Amino acid sequence: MDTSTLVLLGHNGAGKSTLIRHFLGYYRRESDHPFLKTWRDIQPLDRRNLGFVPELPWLDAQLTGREQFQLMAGLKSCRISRDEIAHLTQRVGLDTGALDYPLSHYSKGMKQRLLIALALINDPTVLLLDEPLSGLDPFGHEQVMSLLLTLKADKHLIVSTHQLDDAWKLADQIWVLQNGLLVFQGPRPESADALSQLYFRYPPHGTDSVHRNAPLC
Amino acid sequence: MPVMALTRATALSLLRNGFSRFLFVLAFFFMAGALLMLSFDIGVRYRLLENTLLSSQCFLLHLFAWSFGFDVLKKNAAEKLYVLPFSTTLSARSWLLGRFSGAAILVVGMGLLFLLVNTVLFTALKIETFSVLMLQVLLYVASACLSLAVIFFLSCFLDVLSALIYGVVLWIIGHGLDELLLLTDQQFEPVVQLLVQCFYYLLPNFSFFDISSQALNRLPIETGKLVFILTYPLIYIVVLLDIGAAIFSRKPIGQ
Amino acid sequence: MAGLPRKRTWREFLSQASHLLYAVLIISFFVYFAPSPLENSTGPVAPVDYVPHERPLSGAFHTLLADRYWLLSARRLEQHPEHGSAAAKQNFFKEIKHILTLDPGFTPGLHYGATYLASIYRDVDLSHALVDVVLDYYPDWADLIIFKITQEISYRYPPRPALIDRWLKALDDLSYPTPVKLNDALVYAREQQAAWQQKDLRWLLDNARTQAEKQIIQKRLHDLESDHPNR
Repeated sequence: MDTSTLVLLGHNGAGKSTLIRHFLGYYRRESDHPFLKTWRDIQPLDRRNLGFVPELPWLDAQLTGREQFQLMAGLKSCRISRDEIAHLTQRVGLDTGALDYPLSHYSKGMKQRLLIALALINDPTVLLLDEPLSGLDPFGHEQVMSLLLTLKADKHLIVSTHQLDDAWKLADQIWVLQNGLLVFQGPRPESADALSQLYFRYPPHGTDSVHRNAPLC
Repeated sequence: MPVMALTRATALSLLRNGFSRFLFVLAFFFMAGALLMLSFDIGVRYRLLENTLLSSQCFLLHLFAWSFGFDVLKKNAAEKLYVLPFSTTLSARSWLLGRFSGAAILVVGMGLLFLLVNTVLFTALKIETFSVLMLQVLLYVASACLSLAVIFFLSCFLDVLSALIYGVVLWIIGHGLDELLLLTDQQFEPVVQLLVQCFYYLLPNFSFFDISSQALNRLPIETGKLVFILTYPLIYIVVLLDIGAAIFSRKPIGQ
Repeated sequence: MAGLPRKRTWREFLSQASHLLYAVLIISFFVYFAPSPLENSTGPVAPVDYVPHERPLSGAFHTLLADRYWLLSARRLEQHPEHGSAAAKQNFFKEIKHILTLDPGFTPGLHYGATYLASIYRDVDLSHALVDVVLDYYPDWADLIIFKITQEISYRYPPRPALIDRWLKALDDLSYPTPVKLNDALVYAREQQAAWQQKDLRWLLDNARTQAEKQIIQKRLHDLESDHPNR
């Protein structure tokens, strides 16, 4: 399958998470957020074929991992067997034994991987990941990054991140946001240094003009 | 299917809550207190045992409903449990119904447990014609579920604590609407009468569920009235959740 | 996005506190409408005006409250300094009426209170006012209407014609036995009046709640038996 990975970059408060919520259709009217006026051309995605990994593990800590799978499968109106749960768990590098424990026993890295596994239920073609690598220790970071590189092969990914190294490794397309404006849309630069230069061209409270280099994905 | 999944998850989460376990222990002590009435001759003679059992079960059912409702809504708000579910094709109505059903199903379960306890007790004590007492417990369950639905409805446009406070206030007022209507009819100006009539028809009337006087004194209840009492909460809950979902769906998610 | 927790501003605090204040105002407004049951009253009031605080505010617990008042009322009445006086009679009436408003189906209290008022205090109007409290909630309760008729006959013979006419109409509405039987009963009642009164007093004695009440009932029974020694 011909897939691509879009990485959203920008300073804190640039609107990366807001844009992801806009993709998910979380905003009902333009007045819900001041940035929405500038994104009139960007339509929300079809949620029937989409998996979302939020920045924080907004899951019920009283439920076990297995129950989270059953809940998510129910919400996606599909059934999931024990084997499928085991397969997804192994795919994200989580121990299947941990599934019978409540989420309050999980580490941050385990929760992050569980979130990715939940997003993969029903095999969506598009995955939205909001800062999937933030707050992880180097080991966890390495594990999740290799997982994302594996997923890149058969899914469209839309990832928001602060880390330029991670962005350069993952991205096919780059969008840079500055104070709610899409100031750059284009392919990944040739090198990580070039990406860094591009990024620092758009600091917070700057007024650089929009530079479009490619059509919207 | 999404509603069933949400119902199951909500119920499981509530059952594992520490406060829920405390409530179960409290229920045990209330039952034990009611059984102490057996030691007083006047308690048995004047049906004080049944009265105390019914009143304590009413109190506990509503306390369960309010605490479950508060717990679910507080968790939803504090831990943003709605963010991930709404990334699927889940609608606001299904979300609200699923969460409400999860809490309501535990209240119904508690009611059934009380019915079992009452049946065993009244049979052992050879207390006759207790079917009306059982009916009262079922009506208390309906009342608790309606009160829960009111809190869920209010939470769609208020913060959780305010929704709980107003929900409890409406439960108290709902017991006095009949007397309020009667009193204003007697003593106040037409404008006040019209206002109170609007309140009477719009606000949930919880006094419909109170047949304790008939139950304890073994008086008959009309079939028509019974059918109305059983239908009223169903319709009211559906309307409340529908309107609540319409309000909730207009709000942005995740902020 | 997660951030450091921050202190609530004064505006946010006031906004949340205002909801609690609104709730308190609504409850106070509601309580204001319900008058106290023990305010000064010179005599029986129409039941429809009588709405004690406790009934709406006790929610579903009004029957338990009624039981509590019933168990306590005997003690309170016993401690009244002029047991048997007009003031004591009014207090007795108000207590039982309060209990019946909270629990209209409480027939032991109704029968005891109504019979006590009629047979000890000789006040059939107050006795009927108690029965009217319950009839307000259950207007088709035929037994209570018959109870009023028998009391009227027992303690105020001949019964007032206006009342008889009203009862005949009520009995017609309820499809109860024909007036012919009522007339027969009136004739029979003239002969049985004292026996019925003694029967009421013996029932009261069996159900008396305190020693003081027992003594008063025994005295009344003794007086009646000495007036009608063959009954």
